[in-house]
Amino acid sequence: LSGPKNYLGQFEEIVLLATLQLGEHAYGAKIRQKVEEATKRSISIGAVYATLDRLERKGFISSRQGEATPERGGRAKRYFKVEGAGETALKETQAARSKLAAGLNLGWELMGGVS
Amino acid sequence: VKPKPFTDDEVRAWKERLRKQPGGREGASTTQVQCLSMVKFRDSSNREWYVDYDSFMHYVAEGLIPADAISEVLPNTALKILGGWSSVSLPSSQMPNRSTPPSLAEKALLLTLSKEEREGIIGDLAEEYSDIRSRHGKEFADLWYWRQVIASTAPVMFMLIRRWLVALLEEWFRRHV
Repeated sequence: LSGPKNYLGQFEEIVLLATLQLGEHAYGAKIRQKVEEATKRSISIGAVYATLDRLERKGFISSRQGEATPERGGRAKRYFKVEGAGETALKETQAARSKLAAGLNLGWELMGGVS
Repeated sequence: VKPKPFTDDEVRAWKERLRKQPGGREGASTTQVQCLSMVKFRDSSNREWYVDYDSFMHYVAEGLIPADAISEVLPNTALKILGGWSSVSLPSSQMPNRSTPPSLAEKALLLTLSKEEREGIIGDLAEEYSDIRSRHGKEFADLWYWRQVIASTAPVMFMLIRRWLVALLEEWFRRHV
C-alpha cells in the first residue's frame, strides 16, 4: 500500500470539500456553516478548527491571517486554502471509496468523476 | 437610520442637557461642546455603519478597517464634549451596536483555548453570534453561543478532569499502598 496517510477521515473529507467550495472566502465560521448545511447536523466551531489544524499539520491546507472587523470584536479572520496535497488526498479517498462500492447494488450513486 | 444634522436649537438643547447630567460641568463654556461629523462606511461583510469621525479614526488606527472604507461624511451629526470629561452623544439608534456574546462563556473559551486558536475561534463565534442575534434575538443567540462553547471546550475539559483524577489517584496510591 502506498501513502496510507493520504486517506482522509469522513469529517476531514467534508471539511476539505467545504473549504474547496468556499475558495478564497474560506474561514472558520463560513466552513462551519457550509458543513452544517451539507450534513444537516449541528457542528461545533471547535470540531471544525481541530480538523482544520490536523489537515494543516498534514500539509493538506494552509492558513493565513485575514482582516478584523468590528462585529468580530476586532479579532482577525483565519483564511484556509486547500493545497495540492489536499486535492490529491481527496481524489485518493474518493477513488478508494468508489473501488469498494463498485459492483454493489446500493440503489444510489457515489460521488463520481474522480480520476 | 441615516443620521440627520443637528439643528442650532437641538445643539443648544443638547449642550444644556450635557452640562446638567451627572459628570457634566455646570456653566461649561459653549466652546467645550463641539459638533462633529459622522461617517458612513461598509465593513468586509458589506454591512453599513454610521460612526462619529473620532471612532472611525480609532478603528482605522487599530487596523480594524481600511481608511478608504469611508463612503460618506455627514457634517454636524454628532456632539462631543471636550475637556476633562468627554463623551460623544448620539441618539442610541444611530450608535453602531456590536452585540457582545455572554462574557462568562467567552471567558471559558479564553481559559481553554490555546493562544493560536483564540483569535480565529472567538472572532468567528462573535461574528456568528452577532448575526444570529439580529435574526433570532438575544436569548436564542446566547443559547447557541453556550452550546458552541460547551461542545468546543468539552474535549479539553474532559482531558483536564482526567488528568486531575489521575493525579489524585496517584497521590492516593503513594500514600496508602
